[in-house]
Amino acid sequence: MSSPTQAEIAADADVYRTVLREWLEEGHADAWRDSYQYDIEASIKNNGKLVKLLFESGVGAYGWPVEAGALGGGSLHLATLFDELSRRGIPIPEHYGVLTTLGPPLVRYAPELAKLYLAAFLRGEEWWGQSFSEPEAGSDMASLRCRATPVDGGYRVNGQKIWTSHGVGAKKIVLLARTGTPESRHRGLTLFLIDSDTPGLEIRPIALANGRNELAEVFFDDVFVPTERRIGAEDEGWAIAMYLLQFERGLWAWLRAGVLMNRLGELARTVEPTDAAKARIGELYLDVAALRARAAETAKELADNGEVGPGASVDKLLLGAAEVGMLNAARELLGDTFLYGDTADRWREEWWWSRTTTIYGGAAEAQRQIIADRVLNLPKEPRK
Amino acid sequence: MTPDETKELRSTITALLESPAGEIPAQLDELGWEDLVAEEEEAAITALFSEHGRVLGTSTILDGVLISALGVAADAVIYNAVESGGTITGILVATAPEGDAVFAVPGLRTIASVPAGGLTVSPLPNFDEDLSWSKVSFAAASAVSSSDADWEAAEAAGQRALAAEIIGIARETLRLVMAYTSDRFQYGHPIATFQSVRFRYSDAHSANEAAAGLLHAAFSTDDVRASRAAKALAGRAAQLSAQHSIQTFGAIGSTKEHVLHHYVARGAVLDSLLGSSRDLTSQIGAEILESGFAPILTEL
Repeated sequence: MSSPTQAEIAADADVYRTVLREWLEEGHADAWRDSYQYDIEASIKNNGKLVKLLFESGVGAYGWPVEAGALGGGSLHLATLFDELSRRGIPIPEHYGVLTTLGPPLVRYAPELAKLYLAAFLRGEEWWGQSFSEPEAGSDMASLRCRATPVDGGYRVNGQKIWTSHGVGAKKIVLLARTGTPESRHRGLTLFLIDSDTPGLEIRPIALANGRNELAEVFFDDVFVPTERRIGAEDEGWAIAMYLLQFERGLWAWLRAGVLMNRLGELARTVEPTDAAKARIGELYLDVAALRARAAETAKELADNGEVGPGASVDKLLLGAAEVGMLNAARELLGDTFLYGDTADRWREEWWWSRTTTIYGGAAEAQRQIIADRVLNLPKEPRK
Repeated sequence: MTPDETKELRSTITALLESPAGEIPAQLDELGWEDLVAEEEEAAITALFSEHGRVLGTSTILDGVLISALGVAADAVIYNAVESGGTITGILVATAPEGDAVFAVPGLRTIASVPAGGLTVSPLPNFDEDLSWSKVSFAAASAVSSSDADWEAAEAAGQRALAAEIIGIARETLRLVMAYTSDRFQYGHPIATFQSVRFRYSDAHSANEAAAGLLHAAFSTDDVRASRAAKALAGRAAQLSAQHSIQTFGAIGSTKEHVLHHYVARGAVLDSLLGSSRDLTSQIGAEILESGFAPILTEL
């Protein structure tokens, strides 16, 4: 059988899997297997080389449109890439997390921007930050205040953002800003793609308790953004942000399920097979396996219909519970090894990071609220 | 199966389950059940067993799943069997046969031919008082063989059916309590408007749908470990739904007059068949500790 053409690979995620698997079996990416680095900037840099290798060899260039400099295919190609990397014990580069959520809305709502700028991200040469949250607008995103005021040829942005993942070193910032009146809530929001070296824009790292600069705050002091850097129409930001969050429910949850399966194996190889460990590892496995099963369905639904319903909030709750559960189990089962010495750096680091998983992208409490309101149709909470 | 066909199947099953429990297996035969399961296992099994759970059915359809998967001519199944001192003891869900009988005994993975008079039957006090299951014992010498039957696959089929039934119970438990607390007022508002109550339901719903998701995956693979995992997770989910329902029904939920206790007890006893949630979970954990790898059981 002759090897499949680019069009055949792009048209069928199963064909893609075969090609990708063959390539991975040749061992090209195996150098990244045990390449964990505590320092996050170093880690992103090193993993950027893997993104580049995958892209330039072709196998990492599916899942994105040809117009954006890639080889075509859809979100199931991305899901397949994450799956196959995880199965081979290769870490998923940090880039893919942000790409998976920021990429699809860019391609859909701003194809001309995707054409100009996505390729550098896909090639691992840069990464971007997502700036939605503010000090006074977390889960209640519609109350954000960072303002983009129309001026000649574009907008002037003033305000502050916070909790931008991998903000340090990000080349571009996807910003959700207010273009409507302060009372316009979700109706008056607009999305922009801004170069991080624009004058007036400042990124300051926020170290998690583990010492890693996982997050950042971003300050905007009269930052000029040209109109052509707007993603979608003015005041369309909320709809696009909601579109974006669906990829977090589906693809990101799927990506993390693959990572968690690997970490569960690593934990099992580290701890003594006591009865307590058997019960705990078994429970975790059920959580991760259910997450994987649900995320697979959500990812397929997203690929087929372009959208998923409020039921995907279940995936988000399961994801947070699996992440937190995994690291709690590691802490419990590893005991003193977790707390002392230098063999458990990574478990300790991940323990702190895992605490954020029930907060980012809409806190677990907000997800429970969505499920209660929109899935279970319970009578609404009385509001004062 | 198209959505319309699934809907039709469900209403056929709902009607069928209104018959007396003893007639249900024969009616399923008439419907061509085995062929349907062979063609559309997931749709058929989930429709039948989740509905059986929802209506608190007491028929022996689980025996049917195991016997048909084993492909042996057995009369009934003996569950939770143990062998001790030359005697096999276990639980019989079906009515005890009068004459010679052949039993499938999962757990011990054996087929037993027990002659008339060789079966000791005693009533089995049950956490679920609606069930007239019996405790049975017979001489271990009656156990013929494990035959060529694929016990692993048969147990997995039984576990998938049980998982569907347990999920049916858990969903109905949650539906009942949500309906109740949506109508009942405290402090001037329906109970289901209070966040602490709503969050319990969101968690219970998530647990039920997680189990349903894993069960769906289990139907799509030949790896029997997925079926074990699905049953383990279903048992855990039913416990959570039971716990949150009992609490938010208030005292009425723990009374004889209220329907809830039937669901709570049924979920608990079904969990015990073909491996409890607790035992299966530890078994899965033990295997992962042994191999050092968490098995990927489901594909995209």
